[in-house]
Amino acid sequence: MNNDPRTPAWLEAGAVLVAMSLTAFGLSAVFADLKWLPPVLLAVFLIVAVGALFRGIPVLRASGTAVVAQCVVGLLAVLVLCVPQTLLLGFVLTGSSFVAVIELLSTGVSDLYATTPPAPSTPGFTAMLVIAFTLITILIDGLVADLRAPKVSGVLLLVLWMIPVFFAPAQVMWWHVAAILAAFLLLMLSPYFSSARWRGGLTALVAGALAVALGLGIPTLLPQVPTIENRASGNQADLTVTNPFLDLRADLGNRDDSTLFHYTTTAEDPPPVRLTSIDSFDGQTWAPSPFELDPFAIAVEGLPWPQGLPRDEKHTEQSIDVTIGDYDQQYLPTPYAPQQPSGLNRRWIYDEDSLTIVGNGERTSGLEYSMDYLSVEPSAEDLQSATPVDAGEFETELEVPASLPQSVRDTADEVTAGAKNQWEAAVLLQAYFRSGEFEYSLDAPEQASGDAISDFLVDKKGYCVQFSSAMTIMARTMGIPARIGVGFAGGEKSGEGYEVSMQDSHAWPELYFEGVGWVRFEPTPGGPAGAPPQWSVASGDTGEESEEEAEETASPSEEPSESASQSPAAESEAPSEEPTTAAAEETGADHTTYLWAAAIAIAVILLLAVPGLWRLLQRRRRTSAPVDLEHVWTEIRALATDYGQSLDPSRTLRFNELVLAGKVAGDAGAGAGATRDARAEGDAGAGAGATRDARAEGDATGDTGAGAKQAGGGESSYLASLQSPVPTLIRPDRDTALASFIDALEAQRYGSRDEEFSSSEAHAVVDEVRTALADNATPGQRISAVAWPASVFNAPR
Amino acid sequence: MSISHEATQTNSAIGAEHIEWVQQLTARARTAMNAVLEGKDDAVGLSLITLLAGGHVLLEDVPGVGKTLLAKAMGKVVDGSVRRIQFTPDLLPTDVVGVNLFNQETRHFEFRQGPVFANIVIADEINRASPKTQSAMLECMAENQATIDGTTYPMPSPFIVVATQNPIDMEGTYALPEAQRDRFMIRVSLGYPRAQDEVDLLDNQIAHDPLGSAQPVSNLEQITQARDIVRHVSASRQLREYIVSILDATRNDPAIVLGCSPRGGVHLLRAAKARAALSGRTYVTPDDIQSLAPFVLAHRIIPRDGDDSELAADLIGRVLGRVPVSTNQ
Repeated sequence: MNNDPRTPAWLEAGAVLVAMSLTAFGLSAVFADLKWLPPVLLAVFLIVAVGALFRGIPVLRASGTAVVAQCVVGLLAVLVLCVPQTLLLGFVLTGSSFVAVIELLSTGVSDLYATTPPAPSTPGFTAMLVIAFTLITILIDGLVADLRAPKVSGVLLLVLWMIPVFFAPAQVMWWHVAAILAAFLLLMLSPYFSSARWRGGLTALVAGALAVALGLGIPTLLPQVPTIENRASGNQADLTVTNPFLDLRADLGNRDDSTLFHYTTTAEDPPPVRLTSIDSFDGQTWAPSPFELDPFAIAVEGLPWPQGLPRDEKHTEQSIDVTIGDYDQQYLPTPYAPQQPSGLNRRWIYDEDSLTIVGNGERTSGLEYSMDYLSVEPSAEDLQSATPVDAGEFETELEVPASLPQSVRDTADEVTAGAKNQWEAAVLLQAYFRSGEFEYSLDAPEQASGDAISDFLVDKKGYCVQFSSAMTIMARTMGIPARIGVGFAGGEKSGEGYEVSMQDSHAWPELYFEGVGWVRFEPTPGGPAGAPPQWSVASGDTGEESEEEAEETASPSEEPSESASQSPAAESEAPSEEPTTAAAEETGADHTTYLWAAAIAIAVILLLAVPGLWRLLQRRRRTSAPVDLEHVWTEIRALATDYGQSLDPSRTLRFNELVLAGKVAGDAGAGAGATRDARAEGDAGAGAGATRDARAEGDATGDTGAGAKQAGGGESSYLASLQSPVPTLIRPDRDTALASFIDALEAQRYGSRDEEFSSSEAHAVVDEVRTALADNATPGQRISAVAWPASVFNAPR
Repeated sequence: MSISHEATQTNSAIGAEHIEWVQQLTARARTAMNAVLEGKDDAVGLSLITLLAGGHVLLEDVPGVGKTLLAKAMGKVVDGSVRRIQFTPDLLPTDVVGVNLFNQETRHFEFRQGPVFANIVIADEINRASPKTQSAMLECMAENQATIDGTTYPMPSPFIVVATQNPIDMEGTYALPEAQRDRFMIRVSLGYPRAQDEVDLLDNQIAHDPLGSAQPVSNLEQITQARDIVRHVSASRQLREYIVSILDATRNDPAIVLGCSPRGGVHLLRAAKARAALSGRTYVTPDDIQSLAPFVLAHRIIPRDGDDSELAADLIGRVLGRVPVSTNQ
């Protein structure tokens, strides 16, 4: 195998190195930075260099240990690159090296779960990639250099390519695709680097380049699919699909009072245990706004300070120990505001806005953990002094859908008419719901849409869903950022702790006050809801005061309401502008896209046309005067190759004449063998018998010319006489241009005669042959014969 | 019909008229022989090709298919002397080539020609003779002469041996060694006639002696002239290269233990020239080579899987399918 003219070892190694580097580049789609790349490239280089050394130097090649050496070097490289701290003197292995690598790999695996692309390159990822690239480089190098199977090695490249395709389809750009394709192409071409086989290489190159051009060009020609915004968090949809709010009705009606979880807390009053907060209302349904989950916002590393809460006041530090039983979902139940959990693994991550903790692939069932949390306990005075918030910071929490019936706004204005500040307005709203006019009932319709809210305000019957959504939306109309906390009310006292069942499911409004943060209110007058928090109930004095003063100072209250009504308008303008500009950009982009597409299409067409044009030139050259019969014959053979009916070089001119005329099956191996066998068997052939009859008759006439008139035998008897050891005198009507050409060529080749052959005759022969070939060709062959002639790439036989 | 002697003797460049003359001569002989042998046209044609090419024929077949009849018919149509030697295990070389006898009257040894001194020698069942006798016979074939007691006697011209041989698995036979088989230009198997021909054959053989109806259609002079013309049929270098590559391929074929000898190539070219003349051509083409190769080369090779004539012909066919006809094609 090593004797044949082959690509030198260093060239193959270079091809593998470049291919692997390109693959690594293709993989960069997954990662946010390139810190992982140098070790990977270094490992690949070492493997390839060792391979080239062991395959290039004759003494080493004879030992046949290239792969073994590569494995040893690969192992060392992995250890040195990934866990240098465990090595003695930087290169001597210790037992802990392996342990360290395995640990690194396991952190890599958990990083994998915790990551959304583009991911930072953690040591774990780097280790995984170094090992993967080391192994695959060894395999590919062996396949290319030893087994000469670059195609299989291309499949291995695709294994690596699956990583970005699988993990980060949204991040894969065309240049990544181009890189992997180039790598693939390079491996495919590696056997053709030695110049002796450039023809095959040329075919592969042209075909490959075309494939790349098509692969890149066609997608740009396709209509653009609107990209889904924020695809990355969309991928995390499994974290947000469960909308606990929608299940509340079912949960409350649940007769099963089995304990979901049990907790003990240091707080005196059991706080509501929250799952998440819901802030996005589109006029129909409430849903958690899609938040970008950062897999490295790991809950056990501590949560951020709650929004708006002062560091040193208005809160107490509490802690809670939770034991969850058969309660299986993704949100971690915890009182607001969670700070420091313990007993959770690193896949519990948090959203820093709502301080919701969710499991990234983890679920709550059977969990046991404790949580240090901050119990927000503002005083009424703190809240009173709160100033209206900056609407820009709370777009979602202030959003009031346009479809909201005016009656809701009117009611809100009416109820809060006497409020001097936002806190008073909130207190008045809560008081309005708890006034006794409203009845707690699970019979209310389940919807929480805008219409449902206005209906609720009329019917005055509902449960926590209606109460909380109505108060939230009404608070928003007043300019108070509001959202709905979803979770559980305190539960039943049991021993030292509390037991929470499905019937304790609850929802409550959370309102934001500058200087305090998110504060819970409790408008729901019954059900699992407890008493309203003390700060949400105006003390008799303040309440009356405010009422009195409200009438006097009606004007100040206009301000917030105005600002509240203005801000959504201002907001609604902004988003409406964005799409227009985006659309304008898109049309601009479309033009360039079409230009590109057109350019690529033209380039592809030109590229496609090259072989066909080259063939036309060749044909002209071969058939132009002075006619060389051999050149015409070359052209005929090229035509046969073009039409996929290559002539068998072991056949004689006259046999091939019949093949070209479509009278005899071409060089289908078995058929040819059969004919020869039949001939060799002599008299036994059944088909030959018939021809012999005809021949015998022709002979019986004793006239040489008579045989020529034996039309009945036709072509088959002509073939038989060609192949018969004894020539017969049958001459079928061979008055075609091809026949006279074959006669002339044969006489020239074997009879040493110079036959005159004009250019027009040559053209006639070529045309005749082409017509005959086209008649016997499939439509596909006919097209490819003109558009993509095979004889340009494979020398005609 | 005759043709000017000088033209054929002196002019090496032969013309279409010479070829046509050979063609017609052969066609007549063929028709006459076909009248004797029903449906054996290939064997008849090949025998005539051998006659024109100056070779010898080995007919290999089971008994009773008309081997001897073919040889006799050929002798009859060319109007030459025909001798038949029935080879038996106790046949001595002197029984074939002749012997020096002491003449009491002249007090000298006189050479008495053996049956081999004839234009057409039918060596019937040559594989029944002992190897010693076989080799005496084969020397005559190869050298066209016989040497007895130091004196060399030339064979008459034309001289053609039509040897018949039973297939080697028949009892009481000494298979011809490869070296001796190589001396035959062509090995042909007659095979059983087709049913139709056999029905006619039954009728004809009983009604009259088939040989009786055969008349000479040419004389020895004409045969010699025709041989001369055939020798001058041209073979281009390209064609000779083709023959050599075929021979080479048989030598390098893993399925063939012993490939063709160079003599095989010589015989192939000579036979091809005869076939070209019969086709009306003044030059040999690859068609001639391809159609004759199985008959000319098959008995010269030893297949790895047993010395079987059908297998050998099949192998030659495969070799032909591998060798490109022309280097610039």
